[in-house]
Amino acid sequence: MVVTTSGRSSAAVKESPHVRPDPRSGQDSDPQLLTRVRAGDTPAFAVLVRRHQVALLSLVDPLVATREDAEDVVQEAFVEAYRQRDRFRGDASFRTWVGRIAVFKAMRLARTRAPGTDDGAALESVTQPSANPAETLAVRDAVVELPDKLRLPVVLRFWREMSGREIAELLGWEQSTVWTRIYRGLEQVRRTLGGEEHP
Amino acid sequence: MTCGEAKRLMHKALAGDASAEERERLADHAENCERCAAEWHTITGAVDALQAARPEQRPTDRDLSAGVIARIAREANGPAQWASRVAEVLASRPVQAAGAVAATAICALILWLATPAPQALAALLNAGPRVGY
Repeated sequence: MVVTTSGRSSAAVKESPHVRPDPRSGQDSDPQLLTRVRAGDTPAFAVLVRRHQVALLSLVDPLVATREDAEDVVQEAFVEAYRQRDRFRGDASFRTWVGRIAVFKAMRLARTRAPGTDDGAALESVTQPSANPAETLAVRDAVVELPDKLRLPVVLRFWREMSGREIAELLGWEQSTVWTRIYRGLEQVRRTLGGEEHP
Repeated sequence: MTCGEAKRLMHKALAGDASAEERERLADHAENCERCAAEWHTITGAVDALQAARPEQRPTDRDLSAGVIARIAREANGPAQWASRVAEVLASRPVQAAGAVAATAICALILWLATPAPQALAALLNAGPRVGY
């Protein structure tokens, strides 16, 4: 047996060079910008939004039905982060903190509007051209049927290629909890798809 | 390695958190354990199916900052902000604030006294000659 499921690195919540900018570049770091925001400098918050929006949109994208949903969720997450700006203690990075808000908002939205159901174009967005459309729909339905606590780590792991450690940091869960939930999620997907049972 | 340890390593490997050495130990165990090999084969089949059904990343090039700042500005001018501004003014000028509250209360009292009570209004409306049919 060859065990190949290695931890492929994800850029979803990794810090971009902008988080700790080169002092020579004249750019403020995230903590410096947050200090300015807390002092009433709202345009400084726009800098934070522009700095992190792409990473957060790509994080939320596989969790919601449409690109517009992803944009709404990320926008709401930033507004919520602004409201809570005085409560951010800096235990995690700003991006991880807003990412967590965005992911939970996305899950709330996804309960009513399942991912991959946007205007019948779901199948056009399959990564692998060789994929069987019926099989793809069945797999996505199986993912939608998972309870939130299993769906979230499964989607982040296999559709966003985040490692268990990164997912744990993002969601504020124990790493071992993420491992167990990914496994249970996979088992449930396999059962839904009617996969073979191991002895 | 026991099957229990192998299962824990499977969880870790599927999450992408197992080291190369741990993956090798798991593979060695599965070489000699039909049950664990079958379990790994089945579960990685689900991984393959999931990865084949992965939605393509949609373009994420829209700048959201203007929308975010506009919403923040709307909230800043909303009722909550007005209430907090009133509270700030009251706190900063307590004498004037007390005078304003007293004046408002006196005006309200005068208005109340000058306005007929609903019962009195009803009596006025019902007053007048009754015509019997």
